[in-house]
Amino acid sequence: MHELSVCEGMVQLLEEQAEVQGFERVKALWVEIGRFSCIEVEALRFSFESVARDSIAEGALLHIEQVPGQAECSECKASFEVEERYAQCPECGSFRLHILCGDELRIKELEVI
Amino acid sequence: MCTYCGCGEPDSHDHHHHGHHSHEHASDENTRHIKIEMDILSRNNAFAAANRDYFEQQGILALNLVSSPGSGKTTLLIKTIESLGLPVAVIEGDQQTSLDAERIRQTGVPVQQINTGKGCHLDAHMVGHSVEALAPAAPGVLFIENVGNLVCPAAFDLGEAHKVVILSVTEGEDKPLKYPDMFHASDLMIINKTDLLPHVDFDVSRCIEYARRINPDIEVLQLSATTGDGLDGWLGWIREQAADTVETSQQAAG
Repeated sequence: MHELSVCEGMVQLLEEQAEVQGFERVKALWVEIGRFSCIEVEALRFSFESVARDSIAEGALLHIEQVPGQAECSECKASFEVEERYAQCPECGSFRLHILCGDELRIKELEVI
Repeated sequence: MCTYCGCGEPDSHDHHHHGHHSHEHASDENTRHIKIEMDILSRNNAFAAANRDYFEQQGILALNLVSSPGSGKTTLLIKTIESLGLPVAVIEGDQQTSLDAERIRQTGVPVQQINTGKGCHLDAHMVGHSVEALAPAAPGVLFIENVGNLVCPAAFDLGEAHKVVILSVTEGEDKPLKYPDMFHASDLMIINKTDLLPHVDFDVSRCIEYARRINPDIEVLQLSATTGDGLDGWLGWIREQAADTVETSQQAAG
């Protein structure tokens, strides 16, 4: 739902990085989107294209790596993949899980000129 | 030629399965790769951290109230302001109108309205500017009434001490399972409009069980803002948190 403001944040970060790292244009970027990050990948692609227009990232290729949810059971310490936040430990049935992966919303790498 | 990215390769290559570094044809000689590992919300988080530092130094307890539209947040806020007995300031977030801010203003406490327009949540930058304009009493309590939305406000830290999620019994008891991120991010769940329980099909204990599946440590209070039933528990919770906030700020000041 807030993919648009997430994309605005991305373009701002890219513009800051352009000054710090001294580049003119972003040709491609690799981002990690976790399962629990509340982001719809298709909506993000759509928003990015329009937000990036007239910026240093206009036309940049957006590579999205989706990160599945990983959790560790706080009771029995088993670790496993989870589809939802309210998953149950497959070993002991506890709902007390510590989410290890899936909250990511991160730019990993850029290809720049 | 691929019309998707204009890269000159045949159309058959699959853009949806580019893994890390798999887009070899994009690496022409003039480009370079930079690893940055930056959190996309880092800008918001930096503003949130600045807000949190300010609140902690000043001894201001900031509470971020989140819920669906129509849960009774504004009515609860008005009843709370009337009975709390502590200095209060309010930031009101809505997409449009200042109707809620007007209702709050009538209680006599300082209030700042933020209209987010098309935005579906408040962010830490907006809140920081509102705090400057509001100059809330310190020590005191700052209520931030977020946009009525159980999805997006979960992802945006405003610098608050706690998110408080309000759920009314006229909504489904399964909301914690349907909107897990918000219940995961909140420290307290208020079940509001309990005076309507005899008229609706809402299983309170099941609702609490669902919320604790998502967040085993979430505290729960039940009340009716309209009748005032259960309000004391909420007021007590706020006073306790406010006292802790003041103590922490005094310790930090030495």
